[in-house]
Amino acid sequence: MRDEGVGLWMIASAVAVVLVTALLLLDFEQRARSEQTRTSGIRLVRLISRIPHEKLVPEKPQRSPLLVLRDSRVRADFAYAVVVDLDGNPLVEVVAPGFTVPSPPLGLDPASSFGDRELEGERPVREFFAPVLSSSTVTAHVRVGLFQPGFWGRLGETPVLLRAVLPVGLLGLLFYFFLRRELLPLSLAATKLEEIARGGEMESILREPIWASGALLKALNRFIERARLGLDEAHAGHSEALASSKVLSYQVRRIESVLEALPDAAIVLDESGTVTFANAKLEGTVGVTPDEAIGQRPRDWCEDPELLAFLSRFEGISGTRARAASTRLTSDASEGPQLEVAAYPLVLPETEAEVRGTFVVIRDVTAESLLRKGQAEFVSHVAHELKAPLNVLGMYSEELLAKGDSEEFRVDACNVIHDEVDRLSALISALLSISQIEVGAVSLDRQRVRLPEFLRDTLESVSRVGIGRDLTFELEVSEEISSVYVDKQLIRVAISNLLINAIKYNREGGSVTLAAETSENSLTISVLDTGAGISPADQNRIFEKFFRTATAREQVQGGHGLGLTLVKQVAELHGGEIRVESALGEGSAFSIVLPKTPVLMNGPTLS
Amino acid sequence: MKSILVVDDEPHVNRVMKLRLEEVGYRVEIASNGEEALEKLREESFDAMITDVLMPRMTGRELCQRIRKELPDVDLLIFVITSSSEIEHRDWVKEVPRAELIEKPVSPKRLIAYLRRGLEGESGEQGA
Repeated sequence: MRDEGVGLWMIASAVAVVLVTALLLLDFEQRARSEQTRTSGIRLVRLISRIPHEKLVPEKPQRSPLLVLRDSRVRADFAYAVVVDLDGNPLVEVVAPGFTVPSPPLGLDPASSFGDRELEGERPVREFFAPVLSSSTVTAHVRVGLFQPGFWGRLGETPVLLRAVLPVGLLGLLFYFFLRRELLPLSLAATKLEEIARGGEMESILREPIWASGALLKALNRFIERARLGLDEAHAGHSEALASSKVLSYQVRRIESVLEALPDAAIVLDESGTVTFANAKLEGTVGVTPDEAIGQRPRDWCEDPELLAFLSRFEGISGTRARAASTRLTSDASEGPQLEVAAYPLVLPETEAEVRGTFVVIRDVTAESLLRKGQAEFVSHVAHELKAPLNVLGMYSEELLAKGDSEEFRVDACNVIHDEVDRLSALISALLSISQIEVGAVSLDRQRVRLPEFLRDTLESVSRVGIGRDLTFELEVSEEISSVYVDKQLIRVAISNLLINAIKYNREGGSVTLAAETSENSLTISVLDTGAGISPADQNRIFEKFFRTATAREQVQGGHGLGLTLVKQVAELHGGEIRVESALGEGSAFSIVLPKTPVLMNGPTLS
Repeated sequence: MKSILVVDDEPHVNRVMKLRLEEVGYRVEIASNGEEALEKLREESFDAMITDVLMPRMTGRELCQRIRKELPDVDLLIFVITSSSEIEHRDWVKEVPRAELIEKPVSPKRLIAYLRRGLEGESGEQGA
């Protein structure tokens, strides 16, 4: 690891600094000692040179004062003391044990008979020399050698070295541990940070703090702890946010589902007029899918110029006053769907005055307008059918006033008036019956009806209408049919209407047949005529209110076009249906088909 | 003698109309539908036509338009009798030259007055 390398380098350089310092100290001490040796050596040799020659070199060498120097061991650094004659021959010699006196000649001249010099040998020695006088004459020289205080030469004095090395070693160790303590966590921290940087999972990496006592690392640990707490908080916050976002998105989906459930196309525009929501019905009414519209302005998808003009009014409405608007699109009014567009401003409760967007509902009102149109047509028909007899009544009454004296006209007019009053009355009855059945105000009053007798009676009473016509009436009722439960009055009206039509629209010499037959599942009551027949196109329309074929209009006066509508309604009210079969020029067959339900066969159950 | 064509699918109406108009000195022809009316107009000339609107096969409106288109030389005073309110028909009647709208029920007396005014420039009523 690089950081550890740096640490080692630091240790090494520190040790080097300590070592150099120690060496310098040693050197300094050596110099001091060496100086000390020199001064004491000079003093010693001067002292000795003052001793007279005779005393210095006695008869008996054992009495030489120089011996004191050796034996007293006053000086630890004593190497030797020699008195030499002028030729350099030793006269007296005192030597430290185990040492040989080096004998280089003293190139002495009288002027410089005092001095010192260094001598190399087995041990470096500093030699001091001085002349020995005998009655003011130089008779000999004295040489005193002292061992040089040397570093290497004084290995014996190890404590000094130890004293220097020990602190160095201890310091080094201290340094090492200190650095190790500070650097190891640092490098650990660096490793962790690097792991985090590399995208490791922060939480697991930061779970354990880095062991350290250093301020930096303590701070770092505190930071890590904070970070961990922050992470935990963030985690909690995250799950909370997740939960609330789920709730939010659920609510949004609910609102959207409500908007989707609307029967009409719904669009939500923001203040700028951009579509932020559109439901699926948009495609059905405008032909644009929600995906095409959302995120776009109406001009990007709306092809209907009128709708576009309307929607464009809600662009950039931010801050304007809330106002609802609606319009009916008139383009393509005759063909295609008719649309009604309504826009409602969206405001937030806290800023009611400010519009935040627009809610647009596009309704397909084609069916409604068709219904309205149908109603208008119905009313128009009713008016026509009512006014036609009224017109005749008016004319004849006016003419009766003018020409009341003509017997012929009076009879004629009275007959016409009678016919028209009948016509009006029948029309009004039929209208009332139909409207009552249509609004569901008529409930069936089922009674037991013996069918053969009932049909015979009905045919007989209606056949009177055909008095004066050359028609044959036939009744064909299978004997196995006995009783059914029907609303006698309504069924009578229905069969009568069919019979009256069969009589009115028949040809002279034709026949009218009332038949009833039964199958496994149904009972069929049919009225057959030998009239002009009805074209297939007209067959589809004859049950519509007020529809009368052209032939019918020409052939018969006083028809109102409601008879068959009523027959159909009565059949349906009984759970059955009306069928028509017809061939032009041959005649028609109208059949009321009633399913054989328990209520038809056995009557209403008592509850 | 001015001649008048009465077009209506109601025979009662036609009968009393013919009776009444002949009394006051008009020649009256009856047509019970549009086709018949066009046929008669092609055969002889009339001074006026009284037509119902709602008739089988051809409405009064179609009849008027076909007369103007197919018989451009025929110059007729036309009375359109409508059972519904005036509003429904006034627009197309306006576009037919010399046509007037009369709402049902029609008073023969009033109709004769209109005819006189239109055909002879006479105003006021002349009962018979």
